[in-house]
Amino acid sequence: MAFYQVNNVYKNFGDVKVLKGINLELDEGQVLAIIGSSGSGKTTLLRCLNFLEIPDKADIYLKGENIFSIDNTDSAAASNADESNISEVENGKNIQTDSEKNQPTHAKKAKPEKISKEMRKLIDSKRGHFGMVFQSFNLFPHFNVLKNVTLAAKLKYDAHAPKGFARWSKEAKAARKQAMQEINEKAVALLERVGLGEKLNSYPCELSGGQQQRVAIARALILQPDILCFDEPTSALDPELTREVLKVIRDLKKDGHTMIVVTHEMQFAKKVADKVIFMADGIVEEEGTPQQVFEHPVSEKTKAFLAESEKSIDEE
Amino acid sequence: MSFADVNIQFLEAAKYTLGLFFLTLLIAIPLGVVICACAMSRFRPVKWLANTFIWIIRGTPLMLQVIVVMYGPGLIFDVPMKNRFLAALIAFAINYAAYFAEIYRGGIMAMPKGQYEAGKVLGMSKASVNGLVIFPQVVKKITPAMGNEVITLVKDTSIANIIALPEIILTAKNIVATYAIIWPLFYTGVFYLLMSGVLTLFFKWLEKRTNYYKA
Ligand SMILES: Nc1ncnc2c1ncn2[C@@H]1O[C@H](COP(=O)(O)OP(=O)(O)O)[C@@H](O)[C@H]1O
Ligand SMILES: [Mg+2]
Repeated sequence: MAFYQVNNVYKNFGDVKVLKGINLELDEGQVLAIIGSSGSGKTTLLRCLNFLEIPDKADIYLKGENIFSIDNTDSAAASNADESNISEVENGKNIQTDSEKNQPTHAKKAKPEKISKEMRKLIDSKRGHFGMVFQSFNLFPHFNVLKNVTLAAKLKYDAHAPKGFARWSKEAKAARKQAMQEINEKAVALLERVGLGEKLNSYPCELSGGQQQRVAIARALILQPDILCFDEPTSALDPELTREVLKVIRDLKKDGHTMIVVTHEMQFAKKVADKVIFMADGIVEEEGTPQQVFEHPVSEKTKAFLAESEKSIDEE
Repeated sequence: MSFADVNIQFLEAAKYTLGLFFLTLLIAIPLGVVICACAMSRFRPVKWLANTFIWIIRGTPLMLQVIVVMYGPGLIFDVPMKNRFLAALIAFAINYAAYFAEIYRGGIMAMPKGQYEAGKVLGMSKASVNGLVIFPQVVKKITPAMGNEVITLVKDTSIANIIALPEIILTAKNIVATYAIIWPLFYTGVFYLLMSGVLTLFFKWLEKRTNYYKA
């Protein structure tokens, strides 16, 4: 089984079917590029993979383990009326984390934000596997670069630190100090890796878009996600800044990071990706190596899309 | 009545003006948080109740509210309000809390969704996101609007003269009536200008303190 495998992702917004059964798999250290015209569901897919949206149906495997499964589609509702169909496989045993067994059957129609506590817990415990870099950076504007990168890691340490009196013991305090020091050092190293070693004390508003995006990448990396997702990381940037961000992503590949990159940069997809997926209307219309997808596309839709993007490059 | 005498009387009266001002802020700032939380609650009845409350408070004159708090208990429940200052304080605190709640809500709604989502994908708890990411930015965002309200409050304290709270305006009116001179009433303006001047400087300083970043 692949390092990361995602099966049958479905997602509706109300009556609009946005994702209609997406499958993808990725080996460790590989880069997957997702291309496709706007509105084809690329963002929604990444958001589902990062649990910013709860898919209606999906099975997600990481390192051979089924880390997340859900099926709230109508067919599942019909066959399995009083379970919420969230399951988690651990140690080869299928644990049904069915939220309250006595939940009324119409809970299927509950609004998406009304997800059960068990579900939220499960999701929160799996979040750390995934990182996300947004189109609009979403840095914390009131923190400097260093704090943007260290914040989550420090909070994570504190969340797992001893509770109560133990927390204030000499040893715990010393350990904490040491840990915070290490997080700072790690952040500095990461910021140097993305070429921002000089900007530790700058605020996001003092940086160019490309620099901000590189901070966002360092911020995601410090948590050491297994899969790092990028949603059009350069579409808000002009060409020069785009290049510096894409270079960082290329460097990350050399470091062995497994990544999924939604992009409109076809040259980047061709050169850096190990696999390319072309999405159209919520399905995977075409997939393969960059060579297969770009040089020998099978689907007419892919051909049309590629021709269109060639044209827009020529126009520039 | 000499100029010095008027000043002494006004300074006496300023105790009520400033007392009402500071205590109103002390109560209304946190009470506004509670009202705002209710108004933004997902639980419909609570949300509806809070919004109706805000509508009533903002939709009627503060002067009327002061009168209702002062004379309402006596007329309706036969327990007359004994303390004028307390009556004014209750009316002011509730009134300003409703306005503050709306300012808070505006500030929270203006936060980009991306800030919550960034925190979420970084595995931060809801409390961490709200406390460390959202709250400081909301404070910065609402400081100018809060400044306006607070300066309005200093002038609004004069409304309490309607229930005979001896604040600055009522004191001036009494002097005018007793000594048949008009200038003390005009002179109150200097006191209000001084107070609002200090507040203006304070809020300028506060805004500057968070100037180190742009949202
Ligand atoms: N929160 C949402 N509510 C309703 N519709 C949405 C929502 N998010 C996305 N959509 C719809 O889903 C479709 C796919 O959007 P998106 O995933 O952003 O596509 P892409 O990233 O490929 O441009 C669009 O038609 C969009 O309008
Ligand atoms: Mg998109």
